[in-house]
Amino acid sequence: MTKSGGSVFVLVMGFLLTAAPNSQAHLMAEQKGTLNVVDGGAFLVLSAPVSAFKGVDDNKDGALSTEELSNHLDHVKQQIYQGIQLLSESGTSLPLRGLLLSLVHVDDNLSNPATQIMALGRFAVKDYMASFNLGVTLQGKTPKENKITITATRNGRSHKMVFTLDDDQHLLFPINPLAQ
Amino acid sequence: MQNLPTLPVLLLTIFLVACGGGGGSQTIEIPETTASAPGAPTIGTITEGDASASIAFSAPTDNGGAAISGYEATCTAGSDSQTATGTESPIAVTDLTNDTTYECSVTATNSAGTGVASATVSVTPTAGSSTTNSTAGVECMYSYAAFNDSPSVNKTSIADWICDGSRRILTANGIPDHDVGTFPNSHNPNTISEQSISEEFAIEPVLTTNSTELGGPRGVTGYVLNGVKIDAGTAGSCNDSGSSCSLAPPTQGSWSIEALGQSSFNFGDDENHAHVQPGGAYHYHGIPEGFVDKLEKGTEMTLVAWAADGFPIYARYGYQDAMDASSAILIIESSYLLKSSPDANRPSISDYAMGAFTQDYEYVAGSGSNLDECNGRTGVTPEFPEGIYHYYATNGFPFLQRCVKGAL
Repeated sequence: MTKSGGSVFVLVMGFLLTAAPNSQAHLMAEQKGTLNVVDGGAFLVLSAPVSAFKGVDDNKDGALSTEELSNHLDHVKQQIYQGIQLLSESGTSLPLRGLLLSLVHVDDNLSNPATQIMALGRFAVKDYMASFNLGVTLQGKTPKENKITITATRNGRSHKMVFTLDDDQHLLFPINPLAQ
Repeated sequence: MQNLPTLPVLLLTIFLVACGGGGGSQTIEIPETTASAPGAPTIGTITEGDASASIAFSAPTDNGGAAISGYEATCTAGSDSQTATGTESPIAVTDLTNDTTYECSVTATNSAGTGVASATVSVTPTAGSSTTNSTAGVECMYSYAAFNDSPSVNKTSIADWICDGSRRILTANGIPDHDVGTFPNSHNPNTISEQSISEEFAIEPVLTTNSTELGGPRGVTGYVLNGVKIDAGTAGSCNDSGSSCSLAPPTQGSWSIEALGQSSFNFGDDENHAHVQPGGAYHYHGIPEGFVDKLEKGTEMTLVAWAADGFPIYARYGYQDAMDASSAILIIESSYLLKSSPDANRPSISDYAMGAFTQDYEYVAGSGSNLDECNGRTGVTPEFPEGIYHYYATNGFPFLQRCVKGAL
């Protein structure tokens, strides 16, 4: 298949194509996330800004390369553990397990710098119908990065939450959303 | 009468503990079944090439009780005999002498050995011919432009296909022509918007022996006739196990979460197995149910899309015998199976159930409907009664193919 107009796609498995749009990295929009609370765990997908992470941007270009992420994988991981926490009713932080990380590039183009990190993982939840608080402190430094919107779902009910540095913790599925 | 395989005896000792404290053991004999060589494949179409022949065939109905590991095609003219091997149909036999008539046959092999050869079919390769499959005249005037009032669309869907010499040309805006789910939704926060789609496909696709992985940064796998793209895979991620996972593009990691077939992570796909990318592109991860319904073909073989290499894609149904249009129609199954055990370094199955990742599946030649690793096979179809290589959108993994077998 070619782009009409003559530019031929030369697509060979294993070759690096940095100019092609990375439409596969589409699982989550920037600054947004979902939390699917089901029997078996609370499954998180989150796209967080690189500027929220300290000590990882070695060349100070405001973006993260694959090398920088590889070099600082443990550091990034620890900051995610600290930056997004699901708390039980008693205030205990529930463990985030099976953390998966990938880079999300500007305009989903691999040749552009990665200014977002996508994280997937499972919070170990014993009683998924219990009461939980969600805390997020992974806001970035630019104006468009200063809030993160996460939609939680449970038993067909959804709850949209906006996290800012001044409002970084929300009760999940409150009976009266205005009272939280 | 076919000889029955020898049945070696497995001796199994069971220790018995009797009531009252007594003990003892008893040995029983359990016959262990073994496989036999597979039956003969059936040759369908032989396409003559320049000093070559592409032999399309059906798998034997009897695999001998073990998965078929490969096939061998042999073409013989007097003392000149050429062979080629492969794991699926078709197999291209090369180094033939032009203008010489060869008798060709195919055998299948499993763990028990090689079975009997198929009936022979004659072929005479000639200079200047090539093993192409013309799709000229098929869906060359597909044109659609109508307003879609589905609440999350409310836009005009446009898709025009024309055939021009060697090219099949698509011009579309990527707006679906059927009802869609709610977008944005709790799990997919993106809105459907118009795209600028202008693509060309070969009108005479050429089948190769290689597969080329597509999707995402590697390029679009194909387009449904309504102009909506197929992009079934997802980017890879790295787990926290350290250096065993490369983040380098285009794979960006060892573990690619599946959008379909798992319930832990919900990516907001709708009843059409589709959802929306951040740029507004609605795209399919599985059978485009709404579009299939619009075609009202029921259980007929239904051409729904063209792959990037120019070969057609059919949805769900195919002939039981790939080369016989009078054989029963059935639901075509892919030849991918869940691995019996997770890969090393895989994220824990307690966090991600088997099937959550693309890497949880393995291609097992001869399983399912005996499709190849790109969910394709050669056979007859309503549009191509002489036979053509074609792909299937299947109910199970990979749902929509992740690679193509034709030249790009």
